This record gives sequence, C-alpha cells and structure tokens, in this order.
Amino acid sequence: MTGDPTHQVFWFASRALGIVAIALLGVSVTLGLAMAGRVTRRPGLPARLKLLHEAATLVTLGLIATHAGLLLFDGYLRPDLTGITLPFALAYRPVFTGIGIIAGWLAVLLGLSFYVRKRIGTKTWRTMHRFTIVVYVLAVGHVVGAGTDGRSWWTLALLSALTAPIVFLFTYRVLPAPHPLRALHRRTVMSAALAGGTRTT
Amino acid sequence: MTDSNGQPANSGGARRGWSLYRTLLSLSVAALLAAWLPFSVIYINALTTRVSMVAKPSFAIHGTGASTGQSVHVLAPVTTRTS
Repeated sequence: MTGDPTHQVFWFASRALGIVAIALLGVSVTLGLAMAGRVTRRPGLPARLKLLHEAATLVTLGLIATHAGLLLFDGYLRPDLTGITLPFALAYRPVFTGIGIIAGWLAVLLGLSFYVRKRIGTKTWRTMHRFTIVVYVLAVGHVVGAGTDGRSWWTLALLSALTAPIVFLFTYRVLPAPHPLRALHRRTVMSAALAGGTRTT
Repeated sequence: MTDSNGQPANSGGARRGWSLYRTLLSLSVAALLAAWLPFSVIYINALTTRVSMVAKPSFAIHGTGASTGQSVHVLAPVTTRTS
C-alpha cells in the first residue's frame, strides 16, 4: 500500500459520506423534535416537516449503509462483513467503531419502525421513537472517537451547529408545558391588569 | 370509489407517495453532492501531505550491504494514512 491518495479513494468516500450522514441525522432529529414539541403551528407546515423528516431519515439510513459498505473496499483497513456489522469486532478503534455500529443498527430499527407502527401499536412506537436521541448521541461519540477528522476544528464546528438546536428543542420538549388552568388564570389576571390600566388613563 | 371532492379515494395517498419520492430523490442527490465537498477537502489534504512527505524523504533503514559492504539507505514508504 502506497501513500498515493487514489488508492485510498474508498476510505475518503466513506469518511465524506459519514460526515454527510451525521449532518443529515442531526437535521432529521431536529425536525422530529420540532414536530413533537409543536414549535410551529403554521397551517400545512407540520405535514411538510413530517415529509422532510421521513425523507431525511431514509436518506440518512442509506448514507450510513454506504458509509459502512465502502469500507469493505478499503485496501488498508480490510474489514470483513462481520467487522462492519457486529459491534466491537473491528480491530480499528474498536470501542468507537462499535458505538457507531450500535448507532447504525438502532437508527435502522427506530427509523423503519415507523412503517410497522400500526402493527406494534402507536404507543409502543412513540416510546421507541423517543430513543432516537440516543442514536444521535452515539453517532456523535463515533464521529469524535473513531473519525480521522473527528477532532478537527471544522468537524467540531459542524457538530456544535447540529447539536445546539437539538439540545434546545429536546429541553423544550422535556420541560413541562404550562398547566392549562394556570395559563387561563394568568391570561385573566393579565387582561384584568390591562383593563385596569386602560381605565386609569 | 371517490371522496367528497369527487377525487379517487386513494389520491391523497398517491400524492403523498409522490411527494415523498420527490423529496427523497432530491435529498439523495443533494446529499451526494454535499459529500463531494468533504471528499475533495480530504483528497486534496492527502495529496498535499504526500507531496510534502515526498519532498522530505526519511531514511528508515540504515545499514551495510552484506555482499558489497557499501552503506545502504532504504526509503521509508510514503504514506499519509494515519489510521
């Protein structure tokens, strides 16, 4: 194996697709959280977001498969099918590649569960779907720990840009919504105060 | 079978299927084009690293030829691969 970059084209392509896969995974998780948190209620927008969320998830799954599959053709790493499908079987940075493989399988399981939600029950599907955030966390761990460019400034900048909205939307989703009666009471007090203010002027 | 608007009942499903297919295809093309940017950066980076390594060769093995008795220098293989 020489250092000629043309001999490493599959390695480079796998890395590049991995970067795009994490970016699209971040977008997909952000869209999912935005829908779940009902951040926007503009008519027609939730349906569009859902469509984009579904398409982004499917393309992400394809990118993950291609990212792993291209490694089979890398003459330096030379992994076999077991190495790219079984966690911790690959000799190269086994912990972090293992984390990536777990994230990949979890993404397949959670992503495709949407299509069998009627069979497994919507409640079960919703419970399962909440674990999507775990896929993202594991994927970020895989990128930083196993990626050749994982600690470069531009990868860290990309991960920060992807993670910030996810953290915001996740926190927004997890925090309890205001109690309807308390909100009603606050509105009444506010309008009474405003009415009082109007009278005095 | 038609819905209240006189449209075929499954037209909503078909429209949704087509929308999903269109979004999926557009996103796939965009993702592949987007991958081109990091690929180019990685490739060019490897290429420039290799050029600098070739310009400054390192001699990995020093020794004496067994038959000739002359000093032997073997160039270390040039690779940019760190992992």
